Amino acid sequence: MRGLVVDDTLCFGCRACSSACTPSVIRLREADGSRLVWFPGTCQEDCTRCQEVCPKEAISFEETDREREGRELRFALRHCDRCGRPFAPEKVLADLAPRVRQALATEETSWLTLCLSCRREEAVSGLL
Amino acid sequence: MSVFPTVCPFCGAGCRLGLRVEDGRVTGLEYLSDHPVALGALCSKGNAALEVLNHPDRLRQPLVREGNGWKEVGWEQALTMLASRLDDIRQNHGGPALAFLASAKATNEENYLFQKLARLLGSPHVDHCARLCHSPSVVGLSRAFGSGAMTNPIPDLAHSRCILILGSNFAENHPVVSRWVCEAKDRGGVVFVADPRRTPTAALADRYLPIRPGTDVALLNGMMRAILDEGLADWEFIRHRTVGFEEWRASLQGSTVEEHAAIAGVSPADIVAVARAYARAEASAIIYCMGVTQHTVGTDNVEACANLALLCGQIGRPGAGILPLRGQNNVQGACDMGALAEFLPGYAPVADPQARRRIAQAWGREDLPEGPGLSVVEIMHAAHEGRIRGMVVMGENPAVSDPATTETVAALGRLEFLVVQDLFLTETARLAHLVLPAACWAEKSGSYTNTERRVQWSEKVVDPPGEARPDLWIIGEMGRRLGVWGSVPTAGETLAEVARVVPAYGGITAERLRNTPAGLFWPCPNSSHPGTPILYRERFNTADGRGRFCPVTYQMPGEQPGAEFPLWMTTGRVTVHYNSGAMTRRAPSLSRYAPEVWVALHPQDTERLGLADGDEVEVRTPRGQVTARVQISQEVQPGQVFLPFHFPGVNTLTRPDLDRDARIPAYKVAACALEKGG
Amino acid sequence: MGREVLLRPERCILCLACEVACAREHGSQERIWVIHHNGHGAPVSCRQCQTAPCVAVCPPQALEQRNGSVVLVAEKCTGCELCLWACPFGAMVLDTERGQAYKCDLCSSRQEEGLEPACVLTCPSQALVLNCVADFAARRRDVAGRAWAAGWTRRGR
Repeated sequence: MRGLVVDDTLCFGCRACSSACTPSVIRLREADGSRLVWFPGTCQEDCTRCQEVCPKEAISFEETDREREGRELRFALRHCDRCGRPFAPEKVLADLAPRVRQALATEETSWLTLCLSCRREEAVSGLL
Repeated sequence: MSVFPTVCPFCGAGCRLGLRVEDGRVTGLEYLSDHPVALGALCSKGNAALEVLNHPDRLRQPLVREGNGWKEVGWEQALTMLASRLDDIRQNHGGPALAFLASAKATNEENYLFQKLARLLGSPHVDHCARLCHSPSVVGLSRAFGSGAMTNPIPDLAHSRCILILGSNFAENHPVVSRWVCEAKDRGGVVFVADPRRTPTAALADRYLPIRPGTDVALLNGMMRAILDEGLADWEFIRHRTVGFEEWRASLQGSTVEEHAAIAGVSPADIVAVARAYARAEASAIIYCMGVTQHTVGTDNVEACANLALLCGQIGRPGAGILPLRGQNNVQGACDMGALAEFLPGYAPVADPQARRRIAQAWGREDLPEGPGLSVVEIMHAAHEGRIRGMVVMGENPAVSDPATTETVAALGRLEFLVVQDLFLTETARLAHLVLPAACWAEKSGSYTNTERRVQWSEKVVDPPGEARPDLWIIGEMGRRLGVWGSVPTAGETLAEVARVVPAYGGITAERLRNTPAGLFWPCPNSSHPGTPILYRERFNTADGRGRFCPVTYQMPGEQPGAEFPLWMTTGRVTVHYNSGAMTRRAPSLSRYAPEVWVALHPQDTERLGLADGDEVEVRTPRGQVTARVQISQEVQPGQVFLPFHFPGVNTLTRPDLDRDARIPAYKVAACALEKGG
Repeated sequence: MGREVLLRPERCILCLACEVACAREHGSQERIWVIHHNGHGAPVSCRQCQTAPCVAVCPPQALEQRNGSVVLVAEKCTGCELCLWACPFGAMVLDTERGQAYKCDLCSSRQEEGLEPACVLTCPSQALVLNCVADFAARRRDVAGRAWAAGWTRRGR
């Protein structure tokens, strides 16, 4: 059997694997301010899309002779500074922040902790 | 794949709407940049036109009422039934027992033929929804200038240095007008908006005046008082081009700017500022709409606007004029074609025997029914009382649009025979004995006259669905089977007859329009005349060629907040919907923004009443009640509420009280109460 | 220099034509949103940043700078969503069904026919224009200067 292994020190809770998983074996949901990603213990599909797309190379496969339990990884969602709604995993934002600051050559990235709606509203109120 | 130009079926701006056609089906929409008003632009509604055109609800077959349902029948059976039922009523009770509601959306040719049919059948009762919106413009501006139409084209606004916008929310309802107002601002022009509601249009204003509901005369008289006080009137213009100034000036004698301001609920300084700007600017325009017309004093309000323009000589030149924005794609044309109770084609007054006989003779008769006939709301009263027994409704939805619609629905239910021709099974069609499937704008050829008096041709692009037919054919068949005429005329033939009967359309033919995509402005009296974009450059259309001052004094609205109904209520439009919503409530990309009715309240009122955004409330007036969700809004003033009228039921709240001269209902002002609960 | 969709915010009348047009051109997935703010408002869409954070963070490098705009190559997109969180304007969205991100593409399929973006052509008040920034800014200066001058002349202040 093909066992699916997720390195939970690398996985930061993005959507690449669940978006890529056409048979929806890997499943993502959000509840109570957290993102929950379910990884099956074994996967008998014949693709390796999840492994290919993972930005952190956190997924791997290994042969196993018995069923394995799946596991659900939980990622706390950041609450928007403006409206309070949960929007993106904290770990993802933490990973993005330095790279965004470097790309834009600025430390002023307070908008990172705003949800998409509030970013749009801030953009407009800045204009008007 | 080709793109075909049509005239947009929604508002009176008359934008061009390009349709992509593949294999006889409309598959896409395109922007046609050479249209002089829109320059290719389309508002949200125009962008969703295909959802209406291709909607699965489109009527495809004539329907006869059977019990609680409908039976599909063929045209032969439908038209035979229609002819025999209408003829029965005519034979037994006379032509005046029939009433005809024409359509502000149908073509000029269709409206012309429709009102001709009505009158040749012996009924003077032909009217349409212009009654409910701009009849005060037709009546009031005719009295002042000799003609009831908009005086300058929309792009001409770019030449205005001062634009006064009264009771018009064109940002939502005639969006392309915004471009030209912005052009004026870019050139240093100043813009004022007066409206009880702070609409998106008010966002364009340099100064916004939150006048009290129903106080337009006070605002305008206050401005004119200030202009007289400061000697800013255009004396040359008054002397050479007007009449009645002294009598009018006497009507303002003794009043002060402060008094007028107090009534209008704005500061005297604001009134003076607007007055000075309007009077002093090289060219000033007044844009107005429902906020001015839909009152029991609608005609007075319009005449006050005309007085202001005459006082300051701000008319008859580029950038200077009065622009009543007509709401529907062909409401101007329907009026020009005489689909009005007091007017024959070309505004020949029904009550004038000479004018009536001239038209009669053109139609091969000695005379036509005397009039004026009953107007829309009066027709419903008469139907309720059994004096009107049969009605033909073309592309109108009075069961949603009429004021105090509970009475309208009851009245329609009392008719012996009601036939409705429409695109959809509307709320009105559901009350009919016979429903006829009509073609929409893309499925027929004809001319439409927009709010600027610009007549444009729209060519058929695709076939209608199923057995749906153009209204022209339906009316033609009606006339043929009722023995009124021998054959169904084409649109071109009908327009040629219009040119013979209506002097202002004298030079307008289908051929000429096809070759003039930008359209022709009436008056266009002969084939070599280029059309008349700006009216009254040399003379007004009155007998003596002069503009007439009409004294008007402020009158309080007939219904005001009191103990039982403590809030002002007004109704109006929003950008994603169109009139009765029969089209737009069926377009998902529009209705998603406004799927159900709401009532807008100021935060002070919601706090006082203990209401939260989204709460269900009962809105009650002396005429009825409606359930709506609260929307907390900064657009309305404290003590005032607003409901969009695009949803069935809202007009059960509004008043059927009519303007004395124009017989328009007072939609804009009512008193209401609000209670929590559903 | 690349032409992009630029905005004259004082002309936005909140009419929603741009949203409706964009949705129609893109299978009901609009990439422009009209935001209301204190009785005024303006549409928000991808700003085609010259230094784009979305380009910087995209793991499969599905986002690239091309001819002055930011192009999302759909075939490379893995739906990881990082670009959504990297965009300062909230201009990127995710199609959860297809597992791919999308944003304003300057109506690329219309460009192939030589047509301008739908939002620009449809805007009734011409608040949205297709232009390069330098030319746009020059025109704004021109109009502003002349409007002020005309105002001074007329009002005599």
